Order: sequence, then C-alpha cells, then structure tokens
Amino acid sequence: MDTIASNEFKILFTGPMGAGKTTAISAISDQAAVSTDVINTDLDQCEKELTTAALDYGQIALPDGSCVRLYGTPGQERFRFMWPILMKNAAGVIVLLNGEHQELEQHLEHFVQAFGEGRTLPMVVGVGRLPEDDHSRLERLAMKLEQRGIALPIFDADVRKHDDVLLLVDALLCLIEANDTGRMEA
Amino acid sequence: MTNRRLAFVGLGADTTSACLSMLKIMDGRSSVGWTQSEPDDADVLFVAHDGGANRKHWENGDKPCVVVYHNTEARPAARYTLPHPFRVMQLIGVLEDISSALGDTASATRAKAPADKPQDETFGHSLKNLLEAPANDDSLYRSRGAQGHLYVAPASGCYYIDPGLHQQLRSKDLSLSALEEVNDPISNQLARRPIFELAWFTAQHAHEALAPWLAPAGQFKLKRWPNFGTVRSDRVYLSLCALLTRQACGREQLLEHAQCNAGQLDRFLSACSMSNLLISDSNAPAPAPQVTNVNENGRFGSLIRGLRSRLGLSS
Ligand SMILES: Nc1nc2c(ncn2[C@@H]2O[C@H](COP(=O)(O)OP(=O)(O)OP(=O)(O)O)[C@@H](O)[C@H]2O)c(=O)[nH]1
Ligand SMILES: [Mg+2]
Repeated sequence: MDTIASNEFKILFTGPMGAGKTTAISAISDQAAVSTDVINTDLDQCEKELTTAALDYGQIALPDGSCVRLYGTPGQERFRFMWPILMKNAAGVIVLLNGEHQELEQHLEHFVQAFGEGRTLPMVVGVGRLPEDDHSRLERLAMKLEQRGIALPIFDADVRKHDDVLLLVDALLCLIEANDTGRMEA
Repeated sequence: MTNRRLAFVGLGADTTSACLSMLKIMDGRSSVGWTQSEPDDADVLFVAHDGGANRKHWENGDKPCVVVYHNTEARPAARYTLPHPFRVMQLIGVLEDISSALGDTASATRAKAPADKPQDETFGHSLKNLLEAPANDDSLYRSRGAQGHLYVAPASGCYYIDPGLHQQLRSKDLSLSALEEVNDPISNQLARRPIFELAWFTAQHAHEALAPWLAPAGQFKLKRWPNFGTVRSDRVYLSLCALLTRQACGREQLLEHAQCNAGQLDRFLSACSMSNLLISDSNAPAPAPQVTNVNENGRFGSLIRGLRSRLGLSS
C-alpha cells in the first residue's frame, strides 16, 4: 500500500452478482461505467439478464489533473482470480450486498474476508434491499463482525440513489483519513 | 426525613454517575435522603465486585456494603448486590432493604415512593435500561407524549410510532414519559421502525448534550458503527466513528480530530452510548496520543479534498 503514487487513487467495488456494483460506479463516475455486461448464463446465482463479465471501470477526473479510478469486480466466481490483482494499490474497498439474498450472511463473511477484513485496506459495507419487516437484520450482520473483532461501517444503502452511494464513499474517505492519522502517530 | 450518606469504592465513574443521577430522580420521593460522602463517613458503601482487598476491607467492617457486579458475571455471594447496569427500581430496592435494616421506617420509604416507577425517570433512562437488558424481553412498552404514544418491542428490535410523531422525533425532543410495560394491541396505523433509530434520536435531542451516565474525562471506543443509512448525519460523525473504531480516545482528542464543537461531540457520544455502541472507560485515562487533523497532513489530503468537492460532498 505504501507504493501508491500520490496522484493515483483507486476505489474498488465488490460483492456478489447483482448487488449493485455497476449501478454504484455509474452513479458517481464521470461517464457511465465502462462495463462488459453480457447475457447472464448463471441464472441460478442471480436472476438478472445482464452481468458484468470482466470488470467495471469508471473514473472521476479532479481539477488538479489527478484521477480517481473506480473498479468493480466481476460478479461471477470464475473471475475470482482477478481480485488480488485489483486489490493491489487500492485505497479502499466498498462491499455491496443484496439484503434479500438467502445467503446474505455467507456473502458478508466471504467478501469481508477475501478483501482483508478492513485491516489491509479500508472497507465499507453497503446492504441494499433489506426487508421492511426485519429491522434487526443489519444489526445482526454488524454484530457478527463484532464477534470477530471487526468494526466496519455497515449501512443500508440503495445504490440506485446517488446520496446513498455518496455516503458509502464519504465513510470510506473518513477511514482512509483515520488510517493516515494512525500512521503519523507511529 | 432521615439523611443517609453513601460512598463508592472502586467503581467506575459511569457507575457512580448513573447511581447519583438516579438518586437525584428519587430525591424527595422517599423518606430517606441520600447524599454522597467519603467512605469513612458513609452509612452505606457501594463497592466493586472486583475490588480485591479493598472490597474485603469494607465488607469486614460494620457498614452495609452493596457489591456491584457486572450483569455478565455471576451474582457474588453478599447480602446486598446490584448488577451493573441497573435500573432505578433495582437501586431503590436495595436501598430500601438497607434502610429498613438500619432501622429507618421502611414503610415510610415505600409509602412515598410511587407504585411502579418514579415519575421523573426520563424517557431516555427508561429506554437505555430496556436496551441494556437481555435481548429476549418480548414484552411491549409504551411511552406517552403530548402528541401521541409510541411502543417499544425490544425482542423484535423495533418500535411503533405514529407517522406524524416520527417526523418530529427526527428533529426535536418529544418530552415523552418513561416507558412502562403494557398489554395494548398495536394499531396498524403506526409505523414500525428500528429501535436503533429511536435510541439515536432520543440521545441526539436530549436536554443534556453529554448523557449523565458518561464521564466527561473518560476514554471512548466504538464496538460497531451506527447505521448511517438510517440515521443520516454529517461528515463529523463519520469521521469520529472512523477514529473511534481504531483506537480509544478522550474528548479533547476527538474534538481535535473532527474539528467540531463540544456540543456536537457530546451528542454523538450520547447517541452511540444509548444505542449500545460505545465502550467507555472512566478509570484509565490513557496518555493522549497526538491526533493531527488529517485533512491537511494525510498522504491523500489534497486528493480527498478534491474528490469530495467534485462529488458535492461538503468539505
Ligand atoms: N430494489 C433495489 N434494487 C437494486 C438495489 N441495488 C441495485 N439494484 C438493482 O439491481 C440490479 C443489479 O444491479 P447491478 O448494478 O447490475 O449489479 P452488479 O453488482 O453490477 O451485478 P453483476 O455485474 O452481475 O455482478 C439493477 O437493476 C439495480 O437497479 C437496491 O438497493 N434496491
Ligand atoms: Mg455489474
């Protein structure tokens, strides 16, 4: 992580198929996300027509000439080999989950663990489509992490709403800043 | 009215301040008035269960000792005990037992104490007590306000509220009565909402910025993040959470880090505490590590500022 060039800033979006990675990146990217969506042949995992085959890419150009790069990991398991490559030099990762999914808890464990549990890089979790009649679901997820000594921001977020995406990004930026604080103390 | 003195030995400041604020609530409602004193002058002692030799010393003396233990521990073998965190009624109960043992007229104590709970127990206190109790409480509790009722169902993690009242809850103190157990059926006109939200907004808009049970000089750390998807707030809170999940901090450090005012910080700490997210340690003020305002000095300082401004996030 210490090798990041000061003008390169990469934010990753990850999560299972259909969680909203492409939607979230498109919401804040200068141009619509460059995605390589193809017809989904894995309707068992998620009933949607299109899925991102390789990865999503978006960028936000800053006035001083630097650029924030946004990457979305592909949803399908067979592209998992790309995760460590994408993680390299990333400033932080946003994990998106589908709160309706039967395997929500497993997805949380899986992605949180695969991307370093917030220890290797700052991590924020956004959960969409939480059922209206189960208000403790999100809290239970947070407590699950707490039991393992992990305290990550975990919010309900509908990534179709611009403000919800901004909340996730802003929390991530705060974590990055707090990490810098710690580093300077050391 | 009989006046009695009590003293605390080896207890954290949050325990003693909780106890003192409850005594304030009871003041004038009991035939015994309680004031705090030094242990040597006291009639009754509250001692920490893990107080070691100190506990032994006072327990072997002739003054009644209330052994305060954490509610996750087994009840210690002692005549008077109190699990922490405790409710007003538990405190009243143990003090009544003691004052009757001391020869105060117990009936007089009871006569003036209200039948179920003190009238001035605040809504905030009653909610905090409910939230700290074991999660399997499937009773229903009601609070009355001038503009309507709300109901809290701890086991299901939700509360029920009139939609109009709900709007107000987000922006101001509703002056609600303390929660009391009821058997009412819940009207389907009421909105069902997460308890976390009620706890958060109650502390946010409470009269006192820093909750009376928090020690101003304490060290604080967060167990979990609040769900800011439900309780929207500004950057200051995100920034405080980011630091407080990394390390324990005192209020001074936090003010420095988040560049906010003391009132805002105190409301944040109170809301986290009410929502059961905060660990506070009033006993061990750690040497304050230097916290620098990162916005200026971090590796990504200017990049983050630029990105926030591009995204329309306030700076
Ligand atoms: N109701 C609801 N729909 C959502 C939410 N988030 C995303 N969606 C929808 O879910 C669908 C899938 O979103 P995508 O952005 O394609 O998901 P993805 O993570 O890129 O999926 P893959 O590329 O297949 O891995 C879209 O139709 C979104 O509009 C949410 O919070 N609530
Ligand atoms: Mg996609």
